[in-house]
Amino acid sequence: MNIGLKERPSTSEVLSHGSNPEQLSVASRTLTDSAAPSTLFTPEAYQGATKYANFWVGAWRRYRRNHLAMYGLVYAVVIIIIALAAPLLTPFRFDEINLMNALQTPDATHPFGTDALGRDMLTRIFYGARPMLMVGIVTGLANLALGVPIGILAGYLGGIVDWFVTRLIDMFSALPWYLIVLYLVMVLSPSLENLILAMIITGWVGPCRLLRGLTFSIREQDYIEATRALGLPMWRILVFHVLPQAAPLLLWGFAAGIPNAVFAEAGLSFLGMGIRPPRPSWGQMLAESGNYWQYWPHMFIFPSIMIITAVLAFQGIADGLRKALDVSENI
Amino acid sequence: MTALLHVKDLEVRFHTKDGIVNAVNGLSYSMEQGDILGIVGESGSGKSVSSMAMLRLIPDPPGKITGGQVLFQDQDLLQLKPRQMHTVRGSQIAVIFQDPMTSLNPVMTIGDQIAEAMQVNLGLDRRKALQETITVLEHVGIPQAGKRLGDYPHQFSGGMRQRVMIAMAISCRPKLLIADEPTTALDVTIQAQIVDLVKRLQEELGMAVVWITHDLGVIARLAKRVNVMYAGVIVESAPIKPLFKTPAHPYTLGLLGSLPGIDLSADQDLNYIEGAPPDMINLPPGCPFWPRCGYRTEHCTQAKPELTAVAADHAAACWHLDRVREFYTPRQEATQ
Repeated sequence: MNIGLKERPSTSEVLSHGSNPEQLSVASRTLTDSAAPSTLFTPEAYQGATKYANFWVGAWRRYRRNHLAMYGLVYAVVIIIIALAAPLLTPFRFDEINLMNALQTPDATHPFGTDALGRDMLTRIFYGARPMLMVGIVTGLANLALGVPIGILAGYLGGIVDWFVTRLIDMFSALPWYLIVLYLVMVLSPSLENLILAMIITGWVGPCRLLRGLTFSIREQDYIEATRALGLPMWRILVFHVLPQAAPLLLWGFAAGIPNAVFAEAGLSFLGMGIRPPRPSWGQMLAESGNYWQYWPHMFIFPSIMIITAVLAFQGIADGLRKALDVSENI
Repeated sequence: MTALLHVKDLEVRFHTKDGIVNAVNGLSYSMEQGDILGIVGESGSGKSVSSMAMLRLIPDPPGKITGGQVLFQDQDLLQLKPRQMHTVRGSQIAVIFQDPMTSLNPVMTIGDQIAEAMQVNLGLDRRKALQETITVLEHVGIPQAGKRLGDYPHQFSGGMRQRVMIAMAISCRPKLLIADEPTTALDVTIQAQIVDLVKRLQEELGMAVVWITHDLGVIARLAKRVNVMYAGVIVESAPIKPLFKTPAHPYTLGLLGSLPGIDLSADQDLNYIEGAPPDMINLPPGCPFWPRCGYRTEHCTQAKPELTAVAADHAAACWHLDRVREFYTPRQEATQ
């Protein structure tokens, strides 16, 4: 009858406020009577319970079931490894000009061929993953780091803080972001750092507006008042009760922002406002192929394939994240 | 013996577009350790607002506590800094809310939600807090508590969720538990279970309970003492038996008279109190209840009655206590 009681961790001190054995045996009777035996209270069973208790473990379980998202993740990891390990993967340098070797079609030494200056295309594609990832990840993280705290505070505090933040959001939303980025890069001189900076200045508004609206509706919920009544400090309510509800949207927004960054980087590089030669970027390589593609199609095929697959991979990740983090969808 | 809780002349106002709502107008009562106090009144009588004001959980703006004192263990809660208030909420005074469907965070497992309170208020680490959570959940009658830690609120029924809410409230061993209509959203059989559960916990843990409700049946089952509220003030305060046997205030009479009996035939109308609750923006001068009162005289419309003792430990605020007692025979006739 009381097997469960004996094995329960630290019963004695846990309810020192007046639990007597009779009261507890009421609970354990229900347990022993039901199908599950007293193993419920063994440490192993308990650990199983806590593991499952974590939201992110459940999310990962749901994510894994999504094939497209998993392919995307694997592909993205491969791209990241390639970007990090580029010097180890190729015998050539990305800026090694060899005019005698220009415009080679793919062969054993140059699997992706060479460009108009005789540089190895494969090497340049490896190195081209770097600015793409830098722009995507750094701007994404910086936008979150800037937009999330501002938005969540504006939504939770309301009043004058919210008024000020809202005007700021309105102001930045009214500006066409591509023009602003162009203008800023021009003023600040074109470089990878300035491109990222320009994209942050216009990009933080997105997560900020999202979180402000979400916090606004969440803070009126009964369970937020319940957490206040439980004596939780404000930062804890915001971090553990409000933010997790925004996490699905934010993560999705982050992952979905990477393809945008790829396009923005490619477009600006094409216009000469982004990555400066000789550093390669996929968009820039595509732009360079403009004069040659009819006779040497490998010059645009490979960068195009890279851009398309990278965009698809990150889109797949974003989609998988959105589904996996949504508790209301498939438990 | 000093009281655990002593509320003195509490006043709460809400500033709205239409004017100032006088939600609580000089509320005073006190409670000892281990008391169960019922607060009864119709919607808008200030029962919930006064309790939330004690914890300073009134949204400001529009709400404002404009006067009075809330002495909890001889400390005025209304004078505390916000930071100090955090140490009172949860660990000293805990609340069970009305609707268990919306009072739990839907995207957080119940294990995390209960453990969080203990992590913050008792300073436990997560592992220890989760262990205690299992015991507390068992204690409020959740079967297989260890397995249900990782479940989300929607995987529980209404009654079970209210048990989870209660577990959360008692997890930090508060000295005072405020139950704000915790059974209103539940069906009657579950109501009885929850009432019994709170009663059992109260006896075991020795905490004081303030039970806010408009259900006199629940009060009769649970409370030792009852405050009847009307228009933001207490109109009658009595131990449970005298309140039901010899009610002294016309409003209490009306409430008791409106209880439908099983012997009432189907085509008979239910008894009710004539008129509507007062407009809290423009409260009538004098006694707030006079527009609906069968005993009213000219005097009632001019001067506000104070709580006066009618028996030991039994007080009511009415100018015509003698007449009420004289006329009061069976309760059904009292409202006419």
